[in-house]
Amino acid sequence: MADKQKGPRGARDGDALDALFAQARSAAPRASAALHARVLDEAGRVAQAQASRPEPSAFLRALGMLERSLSGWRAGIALAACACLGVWLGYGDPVGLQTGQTGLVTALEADAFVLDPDAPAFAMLLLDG
Amino acid sequence: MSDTRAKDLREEAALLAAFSKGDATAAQVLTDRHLDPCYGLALRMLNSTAEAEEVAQDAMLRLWKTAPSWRSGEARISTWLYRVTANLCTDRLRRRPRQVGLDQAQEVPDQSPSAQAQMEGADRQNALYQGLALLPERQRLAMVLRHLQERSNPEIAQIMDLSVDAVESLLSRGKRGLRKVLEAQGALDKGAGAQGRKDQAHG
Repeated sequence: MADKQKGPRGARDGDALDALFAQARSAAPRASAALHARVLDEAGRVAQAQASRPEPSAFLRALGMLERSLSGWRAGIALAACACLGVWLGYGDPVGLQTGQTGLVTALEADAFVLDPDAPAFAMLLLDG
Repeated sequence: MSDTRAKDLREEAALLAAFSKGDATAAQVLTDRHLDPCYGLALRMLNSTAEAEEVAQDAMLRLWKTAPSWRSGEARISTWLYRVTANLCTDRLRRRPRQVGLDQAQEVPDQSPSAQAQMEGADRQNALYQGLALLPERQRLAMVLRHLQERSNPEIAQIMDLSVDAVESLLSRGKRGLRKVLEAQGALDKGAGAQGRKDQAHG
């Protein structure tokens, strides 16, 4: 932002700075032949080690693909946990659920909801229309 | 994603796959392409040839080890390598004793007999590298990637794990800081501009 607002002096300095960078780029440092050789030597050793490693079985490869498609192991763990919860809810003894149900509305309380057509208030309402 | 970029990514992934199957030519091609930029970045960040060589070698070793699990189409090798190199440099810089900051650096008197003469030719480049070395680490990294490695701002953002706006801000502050240091050393004069334009015309 400051660069956009620079005056003539700033522009001149900017040119000089850009020129310095251009000079530096034209003499970019290069890795030595010895470093090249060391890097290639290491590459050879790593490639050899990788080639001698046994190929993963089809099952492990499929597992790896599944893991990658599910965006990592965290998502896999979350999915497995949800699946276990589902199985537990499906096969588990629903005692808690039944108790909850009967606890909410007992047979005695259920009678309270039945409308009594003989009740006086109800008859009055019928007369009033 | 553009077709060219997708094609480049596929080609890079194919090279790494060939490498992990033991293709020595693939290793050679990858080294020729990526070692110099890694080394260049490390050298400008660390200002030490020996340390820059170690970092570049380590970064390339990590590439070889990652080759079998390289995910095609996710990132360019160059971006990945710049990121690894930058992190390795950061680790080394943090282990170093604290260096002189920009403000203190400007107070250091120039004891050389002919400061102006030192600014000629190659010495002008040294002044630039010394100036870069005085910038805060993240500004220096952004400046080196932008102005010496010629990376785009979005790619620098990816390498540094920042937003493009944050990169622009780092570059702006970095340029201001560098200009201040170079002006204090007398390295920013008409000569630099003329020499640079001459180099650009020849290059």
